[in-house]
Amino acid sequence: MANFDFLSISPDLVLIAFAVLFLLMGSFSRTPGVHNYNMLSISAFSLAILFNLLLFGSKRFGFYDMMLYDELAGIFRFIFYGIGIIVSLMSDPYIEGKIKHKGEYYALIILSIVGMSFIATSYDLIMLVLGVEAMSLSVYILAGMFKHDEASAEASIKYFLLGAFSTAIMLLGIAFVYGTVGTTNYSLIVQNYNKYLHGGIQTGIFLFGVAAILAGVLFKIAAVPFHMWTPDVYEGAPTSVTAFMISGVKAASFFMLIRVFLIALKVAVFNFVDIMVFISIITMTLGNIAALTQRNIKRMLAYSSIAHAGYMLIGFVALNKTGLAAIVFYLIAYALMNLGAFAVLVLLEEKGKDLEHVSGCGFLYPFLGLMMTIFMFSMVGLPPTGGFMGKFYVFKGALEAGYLWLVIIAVLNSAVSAYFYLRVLVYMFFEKPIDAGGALRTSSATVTTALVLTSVGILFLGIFPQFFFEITTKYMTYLP
Amino acid sequence: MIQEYLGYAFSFLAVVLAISTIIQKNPVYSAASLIGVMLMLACNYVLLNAEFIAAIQVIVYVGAIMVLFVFVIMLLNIEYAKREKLYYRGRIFGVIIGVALLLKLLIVGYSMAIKIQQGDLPVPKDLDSTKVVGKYLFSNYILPFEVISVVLLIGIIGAVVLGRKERPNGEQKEEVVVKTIGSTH
Repeated sequence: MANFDFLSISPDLVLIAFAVLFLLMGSFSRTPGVHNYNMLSISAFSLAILFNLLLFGSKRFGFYDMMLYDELAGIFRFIFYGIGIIVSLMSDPYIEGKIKHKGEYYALIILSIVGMSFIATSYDLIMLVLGVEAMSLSVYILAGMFKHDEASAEASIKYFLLGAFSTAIMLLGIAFVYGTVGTTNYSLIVQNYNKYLHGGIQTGIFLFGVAAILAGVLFKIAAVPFHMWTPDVYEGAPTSVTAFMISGVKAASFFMLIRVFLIALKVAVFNFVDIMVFISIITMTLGNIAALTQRNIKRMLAYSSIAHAGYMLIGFVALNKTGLAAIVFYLIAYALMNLGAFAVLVLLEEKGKDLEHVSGCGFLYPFLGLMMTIFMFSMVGLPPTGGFMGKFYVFKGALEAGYLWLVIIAVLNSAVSAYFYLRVLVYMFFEKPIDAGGALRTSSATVTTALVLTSVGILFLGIFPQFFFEITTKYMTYLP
Repeated sequence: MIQEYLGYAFSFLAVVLAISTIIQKNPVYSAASLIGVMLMLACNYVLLNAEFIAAIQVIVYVGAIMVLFVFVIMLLNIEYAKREKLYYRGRIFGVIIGVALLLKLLIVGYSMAIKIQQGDLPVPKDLDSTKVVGKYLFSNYILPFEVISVVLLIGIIGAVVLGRKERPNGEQKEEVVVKTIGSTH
């Protein structure tokens, strides 16, 4: 089946071409400082979206069954490219003057998204590992791009060492799976499992492999036993990069979880439901409780991202159509609200990183105050925002699967989370400003565009949730 | 049969050398032990009829990566690493987890027999292992092979961006100020 289907990877080819162009522009241009890299990268992502739109709706195997492009992979490609556009919009004023290699910065963001896109279309564990490596390696470098900031360097090295270790564990798991079923192709794994291993005591070593793969994936998701790196890395990395990690890398990792465990390893997934219930509960509880005591807003959002991972894992515990489609919906809302909140932080960072420093900013900058209100309401899960509908659908899926007590724990958790999300708004609106207002140095039209896009997206998801949820339900064809 | 015993012998030596890598106090001895581990793995690959992988293992790991390690040790001039203090805090916890994992692997390993004899991809009998690797690398695995180039590109960018020396903007300005003051005097 030598089907060299170049059309199905055309968005990735476009993006790689643009990334190489950025690298060459940095070295061959006579005036390297003046290029509008962000506009170029936005046009790259727009082109990729266009190509993906042409492909959408078809189901294609390609390159000796190394990849499978289906509708859900298409939806996730749209999510990744959209995240790329918003991150490009908010990066430029923030990294101006702090990063000398702007071309490399955008090239790495693009290449990381290429890696995510390969994860989304992978149909072989080898392609999956390469996608994960391309995605994570770029992010390790991006996290250390502020070379004169010690926290940034620390974040980079910490993420790199722990991430490399987690990838090694995942590779070990893949080796065990290969050793027992003799293949890395998703559909052949299921076939060979049924042929060689079904119903015997021989599944032990296969299950060990699956568990190691699960550990690698949960590390990327930042679920609790593997969450230690999250606060330091998210706090230390440049804010625009944190926004990218918290939305893009997490979306890709969740799709990796769904795709690998519901296509290739669906034979073993029910063995892990009990563990996942446990992980989901401690993830959201620990994330929320740790976030309560944080004064640094970025660190608070890092712990909140752990808690959100816990909510999303409920959908994976439910393992039914509603729950899994709800994860996709939740991921879109979650990416939008985090990108928005970080875009506000990008602007306010010159004031300082702690809660005290944003005192009174809500009235000094009414637009930013309004935006932050929308994003924080969405994080708590208040209507009419996307965060509310995401939680609603996830809980609905869990209820359909009969996990009433799990939903009760999750609702209690989100009640706890209201305290630290709304505290940001309390500081912004009810505390006295520490200094006079005046225009923010980093404010620019591109960040404002990013803010408008994300807030409109969140309100749209909250007011007309049916539109997206029907699409995700329709295309959620991976079922155990 | 002799192959099986040789395999066990090489594996045992590899484990011993791996433990030695961790517990040696002199980093040069650690590096030498790691070279031993790589060589033992290469011997095992030869026993498994994968001569090409064995050769690559020796060339890449022993020839390139370990030489790099030794260079770094030489340049940093580390004589004795202070490992006891570094790893003391979590040691008991780590030992418990490690032993649990080992027991799990041993139990699982002894309680099962792997039914499959070889992987799904057919290996032509008339080709040696180098040709088989080449054949599959450029047919079935052509897409991963090409995607690796993207991953390597990212690695190169990272090495250049993070490795290059940069002066902060403020420092340069200070230098200029100092020079002008010097010239006026």
